Amino acid sequence: MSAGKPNMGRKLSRKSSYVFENGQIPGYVHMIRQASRTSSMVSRTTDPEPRESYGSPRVSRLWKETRQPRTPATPEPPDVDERTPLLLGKTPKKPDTRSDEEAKAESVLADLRKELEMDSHKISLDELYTRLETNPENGLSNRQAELHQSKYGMNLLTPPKETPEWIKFARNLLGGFAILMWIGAFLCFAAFAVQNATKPDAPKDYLYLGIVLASVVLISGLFSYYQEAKSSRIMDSFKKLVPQHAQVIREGSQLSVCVTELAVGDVVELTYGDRIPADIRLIESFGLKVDNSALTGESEAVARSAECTHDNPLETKNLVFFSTSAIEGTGKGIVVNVGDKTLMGRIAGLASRLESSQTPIAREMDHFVHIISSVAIFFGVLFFIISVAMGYSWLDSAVFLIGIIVANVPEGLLATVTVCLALTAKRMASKNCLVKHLEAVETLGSVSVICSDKTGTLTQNKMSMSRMWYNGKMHAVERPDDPDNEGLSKIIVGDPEFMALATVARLCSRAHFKVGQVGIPDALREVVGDATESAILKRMETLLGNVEQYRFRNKKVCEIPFNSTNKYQASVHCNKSDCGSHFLLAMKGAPEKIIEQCSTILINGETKELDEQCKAEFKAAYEELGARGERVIGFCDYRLPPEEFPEGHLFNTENPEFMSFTFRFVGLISLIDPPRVNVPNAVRTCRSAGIKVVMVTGDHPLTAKAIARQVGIISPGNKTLDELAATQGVPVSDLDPSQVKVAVIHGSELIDMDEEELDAIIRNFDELVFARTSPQQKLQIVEGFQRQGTCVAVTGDGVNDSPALKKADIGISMGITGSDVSKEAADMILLDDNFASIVTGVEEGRLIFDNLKKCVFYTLTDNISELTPFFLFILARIPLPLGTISILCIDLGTDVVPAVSLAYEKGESDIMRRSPRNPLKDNLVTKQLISYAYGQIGMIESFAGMLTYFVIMSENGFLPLKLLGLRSQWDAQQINDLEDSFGQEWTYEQRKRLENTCSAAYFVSIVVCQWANLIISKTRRVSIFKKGMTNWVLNFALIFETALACVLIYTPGMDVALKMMPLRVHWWLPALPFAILIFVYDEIRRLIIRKFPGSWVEEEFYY
Amino acid sequence: MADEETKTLKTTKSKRSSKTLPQEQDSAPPGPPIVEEGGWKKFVWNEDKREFLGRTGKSWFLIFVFYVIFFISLFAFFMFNWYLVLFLTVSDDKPSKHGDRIGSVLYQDGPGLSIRPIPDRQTNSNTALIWFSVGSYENFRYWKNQLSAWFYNMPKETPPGSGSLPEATKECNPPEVSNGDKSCLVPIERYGACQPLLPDTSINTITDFGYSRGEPCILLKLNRIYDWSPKGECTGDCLKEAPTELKDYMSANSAAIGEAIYIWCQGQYEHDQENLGSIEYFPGPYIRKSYFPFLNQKNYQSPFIMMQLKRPLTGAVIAIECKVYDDRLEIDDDKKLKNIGYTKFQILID
Repeated sequence: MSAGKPNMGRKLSRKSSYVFENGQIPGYVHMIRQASRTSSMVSRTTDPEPRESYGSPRVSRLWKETRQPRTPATPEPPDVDERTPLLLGKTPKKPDTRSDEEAKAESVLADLRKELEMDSHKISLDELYTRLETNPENGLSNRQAELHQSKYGMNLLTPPKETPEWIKFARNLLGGFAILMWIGAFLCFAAFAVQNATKPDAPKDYLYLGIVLASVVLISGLFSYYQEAKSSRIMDSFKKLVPQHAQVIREGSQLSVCVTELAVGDVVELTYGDRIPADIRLIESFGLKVDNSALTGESEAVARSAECTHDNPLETKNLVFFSTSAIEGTGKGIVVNVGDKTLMGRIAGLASRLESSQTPIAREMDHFVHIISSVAIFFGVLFFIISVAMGYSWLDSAVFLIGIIVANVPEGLLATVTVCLALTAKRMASKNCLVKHLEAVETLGSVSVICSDKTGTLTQNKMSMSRMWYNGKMHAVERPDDPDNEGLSKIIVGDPEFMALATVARLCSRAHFKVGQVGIPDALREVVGDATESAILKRMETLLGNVEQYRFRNKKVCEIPFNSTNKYQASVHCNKSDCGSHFLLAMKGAPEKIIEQCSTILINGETKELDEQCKAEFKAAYEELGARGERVIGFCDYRLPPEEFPEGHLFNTENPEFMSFTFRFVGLISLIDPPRVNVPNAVRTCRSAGIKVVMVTGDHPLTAKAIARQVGIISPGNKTLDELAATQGVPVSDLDPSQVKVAVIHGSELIDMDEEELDAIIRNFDELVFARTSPQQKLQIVEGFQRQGTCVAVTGDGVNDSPALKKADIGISMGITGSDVSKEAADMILLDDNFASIVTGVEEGRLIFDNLKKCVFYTLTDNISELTPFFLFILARIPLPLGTISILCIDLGTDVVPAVSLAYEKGESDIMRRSPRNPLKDNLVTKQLISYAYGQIGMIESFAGMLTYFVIMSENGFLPLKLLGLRSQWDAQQINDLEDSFGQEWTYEQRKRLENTCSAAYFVSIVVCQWANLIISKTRRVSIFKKGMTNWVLNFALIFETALACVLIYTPGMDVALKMMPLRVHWWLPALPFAILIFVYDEIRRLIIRKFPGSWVEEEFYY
Repeated sequence: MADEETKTLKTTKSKRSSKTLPQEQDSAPPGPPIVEEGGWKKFVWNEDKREFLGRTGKSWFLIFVFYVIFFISLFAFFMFNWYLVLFLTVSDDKPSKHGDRIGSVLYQDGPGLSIRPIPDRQTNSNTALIWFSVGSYENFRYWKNQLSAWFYNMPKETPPGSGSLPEATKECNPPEVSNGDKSCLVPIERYGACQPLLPDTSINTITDFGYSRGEPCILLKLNRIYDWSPKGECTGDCLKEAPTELKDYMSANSAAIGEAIYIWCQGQYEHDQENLGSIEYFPGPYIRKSYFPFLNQKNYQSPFIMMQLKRPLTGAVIAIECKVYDDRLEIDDDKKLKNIGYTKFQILID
């Protein structure tokens, strides 16, 4: 790369075509598509250029160069309505039978998914003025402004159409088990109505039961409605981004108008500190710098000028965008887009219109609700038919149906799950993961892909010095012992070569520490100045100390500030030293610019001629650093000859005479935004947990790749196809693309890819980095992963990330640096911005899934023991062993706290060494769980309950055989002398009391069995003796459950309120052998599962 | 250069098709595609895997065998526990809970008061309404038959006509009481107009218990409770509660009757009392204590009384409540609710 070419861009593209001619085409590109536009990527991989502020035109070359051909040749007005058909042509629409409104909403969404296309920045200013009927001096006339407002719309973000609140509420009242419960409640009311019609003083049992059922549905509906109502209000946060007033020139005079009034064509004055009020093409710029972090996520001031520097609207310098902020300087421009048509408006529209997919746990719960509902309906209908066929009356059959529904539906479970999730959410919040939607708690556990933003998430979002190159050698600045820095020299403070570089680095800088920071470590001191200079200043302060004093001794007498044309910065310092010269020139800038200015180089303490070998060494070092994606700065110095510059010489900064000299090159310093300390560990943990970490960044591919390597997203041994080609010295096309597992994909490649191509990339590469991606592309990538059936987490902090955050299965935003918009779009917020916190989240998520499984198992088990009494009641015609109210006492009373306590269980094995669950196979409720809970443990509980029932009946005179077929007489109110097995006679009321006693005893035996069930639910694989009983919440739950049961049974008045009768102590006992049986049985099952992995028992009964 | 380019493209293209395709299949994500093919039909019978409802024949067989064994074992465990309980607490000949000390719920409650006839559950939704028309046999047959059946089921002389008492029974005279071996025989012929065979054979040997004349007989009895017997006296509070007519009756006859539990019926409300007319009791509004206690004796006959409504008003629902009067069985509201020593019913004669 020889010096002296004025146009880097052209030079580089020529170079890239040279590479291309040699056939070094990155293989993956060919794999994914037969592209003729690979040149940009090829050059990228070998391109040692530094980053933009020091003059790389690469950005402009790389970002969506390939779009050029598609841009219409003849300029079209930036009117969305006209563009829409063109854009829609790209995505074939499904033949739809839906309403026009939906189709329209879909077309809007499809449009928003496209990149912003415009030409307002390219056409000549005159053409623009004509098109927008405006004038740079006088602005729009008021009439025209109004006209434009009506033509292009107001400068407002239109909120998406919202579902009315009552529909949301109604949905909550009908979701889950609600329908079944409503049927139950309705049947209760119907039964009561029928009874009441035939007999005025009919018991109000069914009325009460109906009310209870209805209120259970209502309360849980309200609960979930409340949960839902707390969720996203994306548009509100976008509104916060909107500035209030703008300075506009209309009819020749400047006035302040409300931003919403802004019209296309308005001439707007911008000053530092302003929020940009619309998308504006600059016509004047006085050092205007804007912070585009809201759009790109990279918070760095970028200079803006009036020239069109790129076809791509995002890259060109003459456009500033709505809701970004001006940091420095002033400017003037013409509004080209307002409201929803602005870049930000489109992102906002996209983010708020995207439907976030159902969370995995919601899917699981749905699945579970379907299973349980099907079982309930199946049994309900079956027994309704049976009971009608057996000659029961319609009323009786309906009453049976109520019982079966109530027994089958775990009324408290959905609330229990919510509470479990809430508990985990709370725990996660204390570990810096703030969960916005409860369901997202588990989502993180099912995640199999994390698409992480780079800046601020993986990295610290602050520049720091990485390497120094001087004396012909590369030196590591930080962590010289790091394997990454192997083979590098250590910095020795005091080396003349180092000192020369350090001198320039210290002097040629405008950054300085804020005053009054005594006793604070250097790294934490606040610095005024740009990121690069601050980083150098801090490092110098650490290495050498007292930079301020050094600067004071070497006073700055003259300075040429940095500008984008020169790409260097120079200063002259008076420096009395023995070498005779009074003035030292210190200069830094883009390395290729600096080396152009140099004729000598400092090697081994001597100033030597800068020969070809030195230049080659410089080039190699520069390329090496560039390949690492680091920002490289070149330094040179020169002692101004004392004869020409005597003491007291006055320098002319306008036309500096010293620039005619050639200088001495002293070295390079490279800077990088280093990864956060614990990120590599976190990435490793993720990988061992089977989670693919993918980097999706707006940043430069090389930087992205370098960081990806450092944090382990690309594992050390793995190479991209072109790297492999480079090391083997063969053309890329000769290599088998399938042997490569790593790819760095550029945003420009994504633009023209169709879904299959993207899917192929996602399937074929294990380690992926997407660089230079636009918001729409981030979304595209997320959708690509989702098409593979994976559960995707997206992290991001900028507004640009918000569509992807919204679309992701779980969007994770940053608590400190994250924009409000991204926080709104996200499901979860990392309070410490640290990627490592995600790992905690994953762990908690997986744990809660396991625990929910246990919780569901625990709760479902007694369903069967609640059902059995009804079966026997109908089929064997025995008096009812367990009343409906008692069932509710279990489901909504004693079962709740123990089920919740299972959320506090610790993991059984190292859950972070497991692969993420397969959302299609590893369901919350599996065949095995149902089989084991219903078929076995539930059955044991049923037998326990029935034994208790028979014991009480027998002790009171009704032996089991007598009970068979007794139901119709038992329930006949007019029979007041029903004979038992011993000839005693019972009145109706006495029988009913006995029945209620049995019901209470059955209830108690379920409670007793649930003791054992709770203990066995603690563990699915390991022995309880190994697991221990250290979950104190659970231990408390055991006691609480028992205490609650006692309260329900023994409190006076419960016989009327809940039909619970006080029990004799020994009636607690019959269930005990069964509880022990449950414990032993499950211990044996787990032993077999452990001893014989893959055995039939594991296959059938491991849930 | 253009030629070069196309060449490279071609080679890579062919490479892509030859090499990457199997690769794609290999690295396809685990698990079935998101949309399951075939739907429920395939679930019911999967031809490829020969699966019925998601299981192969072998799998069904194994799981079936397992559950058969499981349920047999579980039932055995249940029966083991049951016999343990039977052994510990339940005996065959008498309820495990009986008498005051052991504390049977039934014993502590006291006996219920029940009536015959009782309405049919299927045809009559009102649980305690005796409703018939005078004169129509078909209409009152249902009620009358219940009483006939009652008398028919009473212990008989064995063999019939031999004059010997039914097994394990004895004829008791007042101080004498039932015991575990022998219970007192309830004399069938002391129920006056309310017995199936009227003493005066010249008129009609078979009675309709007064239903044809609109003067229905209703049977009242105390429920049997093992080892329970009344106090046999009504003093103190019991006496205070008793209606005047009963008091009069008691003071007149108590000496002759001896220890007995009294039963008295009246209209529930004032208008009922007016509509009811007078009531005649057979053999009287009392049951002698000698019929107690019930100890599950063979051929034990519940003692009962018959009451006959003399000229009740027709065409009106009359609510009647009956109550027992004994020191051991004081009737409070709770007992009324449980029908213990108390009963109420309505009667409607068309």
